[in-house]
Amino acid sequence: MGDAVLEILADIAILDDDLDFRNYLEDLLKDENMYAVRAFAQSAELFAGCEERLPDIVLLDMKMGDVTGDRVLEQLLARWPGLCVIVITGYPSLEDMRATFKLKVFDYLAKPFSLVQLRQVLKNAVGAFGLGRTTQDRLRERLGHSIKMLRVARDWSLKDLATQTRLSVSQISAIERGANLPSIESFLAIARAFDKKPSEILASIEF
Amino acid sequence: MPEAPALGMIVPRSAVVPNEALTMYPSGVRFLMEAVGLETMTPAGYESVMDRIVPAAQALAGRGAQAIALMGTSVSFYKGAAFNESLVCSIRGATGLPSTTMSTAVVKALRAVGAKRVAVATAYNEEVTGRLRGFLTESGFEVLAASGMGLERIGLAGKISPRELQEFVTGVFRTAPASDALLISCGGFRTLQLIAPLERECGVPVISSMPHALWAGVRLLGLTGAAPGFGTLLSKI
Repeated sequence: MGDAVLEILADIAILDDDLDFRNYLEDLLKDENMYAVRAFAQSAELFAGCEERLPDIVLLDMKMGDVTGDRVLEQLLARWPGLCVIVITGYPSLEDMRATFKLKVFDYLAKPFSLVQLRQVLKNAVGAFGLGRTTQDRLRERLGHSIKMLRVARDWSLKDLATQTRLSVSQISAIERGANLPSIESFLAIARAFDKKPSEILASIEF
Repeated sequence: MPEAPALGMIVPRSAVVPNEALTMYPSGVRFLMEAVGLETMTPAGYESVMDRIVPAAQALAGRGAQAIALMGTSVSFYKGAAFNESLVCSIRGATGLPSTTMSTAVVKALRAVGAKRVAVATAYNEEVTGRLRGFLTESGFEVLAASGMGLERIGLAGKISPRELQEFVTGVFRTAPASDALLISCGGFRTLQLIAPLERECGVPVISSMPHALWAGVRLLGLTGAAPGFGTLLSKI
């Protein structure tokens, strides 16, 4: 194994209370060899799974026995506002669902859907959410963005932050653009400048 | 107007769309059939058709089915829960379609009505009824009573009159009145019109192979499966 981190395209969580359909989706996605897949029968299990490891994409069935899908969707998005949710819904109600949730979910799949349709929706999600890159890529981009936001919130210029951290302006600029990851020492200096623990900054970008 | 979704059904013997399907879901879904030529409801009979199940599923997929249901309860439960699951996996793997069996369907239906302790009336002989008892136990139910009519030849179950069937089923239930659900097992029984009267008579939800396998099958297509007037579960929207 070399330095390259072998990574899946996306971590997908499925919530469907129908055993057959859940197994079907899980098998289908695992066979694609591009996704980490977890399947849940109940909303409480999904939430526990998300707390343990936040998925990149949630495939959410809207017709469940105990709790309705729209309630689960509401709770998911309240807890994790940026989460990519793809709703799976029944054949006759697709238009209703589009109207009700068009601002909240990434996309819809109407049962019965084909593997081609599923692949396309997931491909769109991977593209739109910037998934499928290496962990380093995602860390570099998110960390850079987060540092920039912290600096801007304090009304600091690049030079101000460079002074506080004893880094060069070009170093700070490259970190904020996501071109470079800061070294541990640089990251400690940046966190100190913002009066934050490094772990706080990492947690805020879900790392 | 898009074409209605299609449920592919692998059936034991007669590739004719069952009346129950057309009564429960007169529109909004199409039913495609492939028969495997089962002769008897015995372990030897089931073994003789095993090799035909996956090709039948593939034929249904080729004809445009968007989900597959293996009908015939005993053909999927007779070797236990793991074997039933392996049948579903084989069909799903060969077709790439969501799939179920009649045995999985009755388990789902029993769970959907919250059943824990069940009385079971079957068409089968003692051995096959015993295997159903084992399958249900493996699936988490307590079987308080299980009794069969002793039928082996395919086709005989459909000839049992509604009155005779109702008497038999209520008789089984009376031996285990603490049951919280009643299962009538055999896709050949004509039970659709009996479900509601039996529920009134026994006071518990009644689950039956053919109607509830249809319910589970059409749900894989995204339909609700509701067929109001035919008992507790089918009346749920």
